[in-house]
Amino acid sequence: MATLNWLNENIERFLSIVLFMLFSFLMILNVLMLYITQSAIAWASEAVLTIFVFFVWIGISYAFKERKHIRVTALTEFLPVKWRKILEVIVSIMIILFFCLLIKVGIDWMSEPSVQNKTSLLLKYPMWLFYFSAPLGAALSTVRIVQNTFEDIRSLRSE
Amino acid sequence: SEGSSSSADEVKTIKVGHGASESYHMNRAWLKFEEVLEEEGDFEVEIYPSSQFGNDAEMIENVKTGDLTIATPPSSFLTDEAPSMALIELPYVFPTREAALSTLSGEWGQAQLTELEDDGLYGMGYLENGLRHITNSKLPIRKPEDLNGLKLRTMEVPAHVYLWNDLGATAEGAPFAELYNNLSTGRFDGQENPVAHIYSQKFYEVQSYLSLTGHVYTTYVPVMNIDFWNSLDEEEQQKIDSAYQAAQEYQLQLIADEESEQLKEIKNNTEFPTEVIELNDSEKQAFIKAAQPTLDHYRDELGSEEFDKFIESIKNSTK
Amino acid sequence: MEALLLFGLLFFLIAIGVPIAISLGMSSVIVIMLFDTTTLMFQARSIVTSINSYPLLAVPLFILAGDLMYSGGLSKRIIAFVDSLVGHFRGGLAYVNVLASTFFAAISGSSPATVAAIGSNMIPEMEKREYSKEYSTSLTAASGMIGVMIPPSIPFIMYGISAEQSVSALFIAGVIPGLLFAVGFMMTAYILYIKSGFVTVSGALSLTTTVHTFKKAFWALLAPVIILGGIYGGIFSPTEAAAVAVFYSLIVGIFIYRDLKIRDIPNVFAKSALTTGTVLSLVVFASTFGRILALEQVPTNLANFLTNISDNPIIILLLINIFLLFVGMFMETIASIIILTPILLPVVMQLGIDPVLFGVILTVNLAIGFCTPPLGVNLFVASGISGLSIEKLSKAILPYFVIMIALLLLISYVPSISLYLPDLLIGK
Ligand code: NA
Ligand code: NA
Repeated sequence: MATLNWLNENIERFLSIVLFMLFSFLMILNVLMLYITQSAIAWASEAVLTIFVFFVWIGISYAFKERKHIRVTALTEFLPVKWRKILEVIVSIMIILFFCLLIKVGIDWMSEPSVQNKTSLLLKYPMWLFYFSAPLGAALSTVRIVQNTFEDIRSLRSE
Repeated sequence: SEGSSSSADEVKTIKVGHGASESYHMNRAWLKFEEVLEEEGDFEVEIYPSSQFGNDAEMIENVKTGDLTIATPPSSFLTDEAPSMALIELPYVFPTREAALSTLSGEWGQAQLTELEDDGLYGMGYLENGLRHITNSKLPIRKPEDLNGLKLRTMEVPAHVYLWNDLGATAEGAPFAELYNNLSTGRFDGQENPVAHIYSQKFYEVQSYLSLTGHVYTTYVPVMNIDFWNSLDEEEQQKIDSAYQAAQEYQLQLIADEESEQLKEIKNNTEFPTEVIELNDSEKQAFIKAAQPTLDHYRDELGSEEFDKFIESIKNSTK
Repeated sequence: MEALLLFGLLFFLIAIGVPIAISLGMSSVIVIMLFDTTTLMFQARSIVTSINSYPLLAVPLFILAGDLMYSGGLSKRIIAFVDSLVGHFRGGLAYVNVLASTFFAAISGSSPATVAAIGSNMIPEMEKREYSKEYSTSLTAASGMIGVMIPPSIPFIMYGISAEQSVSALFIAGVIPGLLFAVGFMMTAYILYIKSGFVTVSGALSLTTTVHTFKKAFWALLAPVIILGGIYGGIFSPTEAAAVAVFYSLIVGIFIYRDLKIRDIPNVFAKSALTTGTVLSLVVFASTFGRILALEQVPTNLANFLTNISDNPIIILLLINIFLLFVGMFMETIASIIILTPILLPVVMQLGIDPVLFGVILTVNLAIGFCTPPLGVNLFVASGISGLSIEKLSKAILPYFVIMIALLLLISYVPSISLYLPDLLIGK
């Protein structure tokens, strides 16, 4: 239970710190290598980009959790508080539907026969793994939006 | 664009995507294709240049699923579907441009295109990109030893990175987009590309020497969605094939005409003087010899049988 | 028709409070489902491959470098040094504010980050020395704009990627315009200071203080030298420079200034990751939007429409500037760049306007939008620091808005202001 709680609180934070450190480190190492040993790590650019793509998708979910995504509230602020909160819930449900669609299409894509034998250019890992970043990020985001929506509904009731 | 999907006279739309710029010869080949094919009235061709629909890997997938009708990737992007295509871009496998053309249009090249069909692609043929030559800002390169310590940018293709490092350069696969600047600031001393790129990207402005090493032959492989191809009747297929043939011939002529013009302009440009170095036979032999370890390495990696078959067919094509 | 609906949906979704990134994706999906323009799979691919781009790596790294330099005490030391130079003038802290923002702009790639780094030190300090809240907050919000004009700059990176232009050329093109804005802001601040009749406390000029603060700020002042010197001296590319900036700020923050504690580092990474998530989500979902625009031939149609109105570059450029200022008021900068570059670039190229110059014009327009309501991130950050309401701040910043427009027109019609340095340094 404690682990689950910790994960719930920290999973994006933890993953994004680790991934961020990993690709920054690889890039710095590569630049240093180039000037010290005169030779670059051949696969570095691809490894860095792969980590980066996962990092971005985790970051998208992290921003949902912290409610930090850039949005315009100037117009909805004119609504009465109650209506504003109801609209908020409707918006969240729309986003959830959007992400569910994205997860479905993403998984369909990963299981396409055309993707099955595709490998990455340098590291030769299976390409579906790369494409997995999108449904993974979308799924994590969905969980966060559902949590936020429940919170919103609870606060709506308490009014 | 209303009703474009279901008009009464059944004009079929062909969406062509590629990663080159609008002025590049490959785009102009597709414009020729459009012109010839649309004359017939059965097809409408839409061309989307400059990677509007993603990079080459993504465009290939879009063709497999039918979201795009034709993609135009370099051969190196099709090695999952036709592994032997990796052989095309090895250094100094083709003795001349003519040998490359006849090998690719001959039995070996056609066999590779057939390989693509299992993966949902109809290989339309080969569209030349050109022979790659080396430019740099340091010294006139005439022999492999001149490469020692040169900071060289290559394509992000392992075979190329290995080749140049084997030859003594400090080679790195790096993105094309920033290349001009990385050359102008000295982040790289040199690069290697076909003349059309050296000219159109103005690399000669920031480089002092162009050695006509011709070390790698590069080609695009236009691929069409196979379901679309199979849905056409024979007459329609004929029309597409002959429009493609016309485009390909037009492009070969275009490259031949332009390349000598572009070389002349690079050579005679007084604002940005560039020395153009032609290698004589023995100088070229030295490069070919120096590339052998890389070739041996790839013979092991890609399978000696496939490799030897490829070399054999090149030899036959030049007879 | 599809294109009109696409834009209509986008604005509707943004208006009801859907995050801008999601609005971009959602409006595209609805249009595809209604019109069968293309398949969902086609769009899904773009959202992964759009961020599979090496130059894009510079975005999180420059965000991180800026955050690390702030946490590592670099901005604090820059302010102290600049204060020792110009703090003794009447209204000196106003110039300190602008100059410190300009220096910090050379390490930070974003405007709100510059406002946060300088404002959190400067606004309380100015208040202590009897400047009004309106005066200090509006000045900080305005001078933060310089953050994206002086390199490094995230909007320039995004434009470079969208327009296939060299990021190094764009970076250096922003330097003179950025400095012009700094001068303009200092002049405006001076006039406002005189008119306000403040009685403020100024420091005294002392050579020992200057030498002392310079010594302390040395490593901070060296950062832009290393980053820009590295790029233009051929040591690394802009993307690599971002990695070097992270490395440098870690070393200086931990070992030299010792303001950055090892245990705080994960927090800084997490904060930058969060910012990256909000910025790059726009890149992810704008890609699907952009593809429908391409399929619907919107750029070509707009180019034809505009060139039918007039073929005079001066007039078209004026129209584009008005349009961009309007967009900047309501839209987020990065999203605007990704959506508008492919639409507008063909138009301006047809008119013979240099694509690097256009990158500067676009960025300046949208950066002015940082300082205008309703959506003006600089206003939000500055108001968050000082507690001044957005309404009052929007009014107080008006004089700065006037000088911004004047300089925008100057930059638009005198290309050499932007193009002189790129021509000189990289021959392009
Ligand atoms: Na900056
Ligand atoms: Na605004």
